[in-house]
Amino acid sequence: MSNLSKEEKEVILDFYFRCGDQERINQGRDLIAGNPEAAQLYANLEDSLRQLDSVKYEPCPENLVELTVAKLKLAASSEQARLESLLAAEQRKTAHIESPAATTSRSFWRNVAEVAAIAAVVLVIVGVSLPSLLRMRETAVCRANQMRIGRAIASYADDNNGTLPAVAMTAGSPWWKVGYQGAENQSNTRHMWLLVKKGYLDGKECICPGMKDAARATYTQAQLAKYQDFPSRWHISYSFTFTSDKCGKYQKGQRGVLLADLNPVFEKIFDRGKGVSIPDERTRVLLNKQLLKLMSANHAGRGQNVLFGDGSSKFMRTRIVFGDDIYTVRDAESYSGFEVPCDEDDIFLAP
Amino acid sequence: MNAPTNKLKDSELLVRYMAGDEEVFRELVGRYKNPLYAFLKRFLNRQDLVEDVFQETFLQLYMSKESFDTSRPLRPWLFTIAANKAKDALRKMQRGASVELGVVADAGDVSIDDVVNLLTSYKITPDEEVSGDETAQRVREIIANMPEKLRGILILAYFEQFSYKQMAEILSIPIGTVKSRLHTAVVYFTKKWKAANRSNDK
Repeated sequence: MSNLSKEEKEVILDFYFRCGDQERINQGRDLIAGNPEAAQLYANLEDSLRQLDSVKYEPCPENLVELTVAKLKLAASSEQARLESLLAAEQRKTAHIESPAATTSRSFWRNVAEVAAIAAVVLVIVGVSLPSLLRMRETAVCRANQMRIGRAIASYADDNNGTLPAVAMTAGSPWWKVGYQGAENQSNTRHMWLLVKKGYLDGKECICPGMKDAARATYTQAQLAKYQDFPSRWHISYSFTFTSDKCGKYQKGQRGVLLADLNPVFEKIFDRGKGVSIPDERTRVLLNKQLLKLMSANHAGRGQNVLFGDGSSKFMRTRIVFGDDIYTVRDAESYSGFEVPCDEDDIFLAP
Repeated sequence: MNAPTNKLKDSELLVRYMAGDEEVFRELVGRYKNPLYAFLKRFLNRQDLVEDVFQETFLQLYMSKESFDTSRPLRPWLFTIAANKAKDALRKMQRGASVELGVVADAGDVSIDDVVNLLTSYKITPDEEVSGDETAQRVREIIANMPEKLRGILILAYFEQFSYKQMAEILSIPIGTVKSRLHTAVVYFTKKWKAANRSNDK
């Protein structure tokens, strides 16, 4: 039976394994030195466990070291790649959050891009619709002009026993010498010129905004006194209903057409360079299919505004009003400037 | 210019190792390759597992850089990783296998008296009776068949000579448990050794 205390036995074991602290190890050494029983225990312990030493293990093979180092490098490089991507992401985030300059610049360019995109869309819409908007405006202004002319005619009629503005046209006189300032009345526009001359109408109101090469049409008193007709084709862009001595009285609200945009049939008689048209006796206009189809040039051939007897104006895509071609004399195919309408239903808006 | 890596202290080496400095990988692995390899060889006794755990240990050391205080001594830390990895490897290997040999022996604590009683009755086997090779073979078998917990503590205490405190850290167990396990391991080994020699003597 061992006389060693439990504590002493443990001290010997600790000493053997050198596992305790230094004090404990010293304690063990002293015990073994002074106590034979302790020394025996130690010897037995050593004797048993030293068998473990018989097992010799070879050193770590070099290829295992190589393999391990290679794996470490791989891990480090993938780690590095991961870190770099994380860092880049963080920097992007930080730049976005913390740098007002970057944010401003970013949002500035984003705004620019957005504005540019919207501007492009607007430009396309404007590009597509602007001509049509302009045409609509021209048509509206033209219609307003015509209605103003209608009111001027009504005023004139009121002041002149209900008659239309009319100059005395001698029989056999031509009606197409627009701009002719001679004593003879040889132009159907002279009737309208009366309205301007007598102050019922402003010269500007005689010009359709759609008419190309239109004149400025403001007249001094001297000009108004001097001229017998509009100075040129470019001063009057409407064709007035053919008026002669035998043409009747104007009645408010009467059925009929007073005027419309410029007659397209007789365009060739005008000298576009001089802006006036003084056709001579040999001048002829022969109707053909093309001339019969033409709409007024004022609105790019789309149609024409027509002023009715009741003072209203309407844009029409046809020349046929009340069953009659407003720009020709019925049954007349060749014009020499003397043709006259057959009857009251034969509407003819002379150039 | 950096100092030669072989002149660096463990802590310096470790800082650079953790930073992914490829230059020091080889140096650090070189410093601990043999003790770690020997420990794993004794503990696992299977070459494929030894090599796997060896590599995993150094990789884990690199990966755990965020949690590791580089001012702490490296060796116990390395063995902690290795011991845990080795235990995991054994567990994985044994999962499908039948009940391990060690389960019975692992049960219950062995008191210091048991150790002493056993050792007192211990009869020294004369060296000349068995050759060195045979002895080594027997010892290897005994260690291989020891319960994992006892084997680990015996290797760490006997071969690596860690202190109780270090072993407690490495194995994540209280110091008291370290002691009682070590006693149990001593008794286990002595008994097995006696038994082996008795059967051999016949």
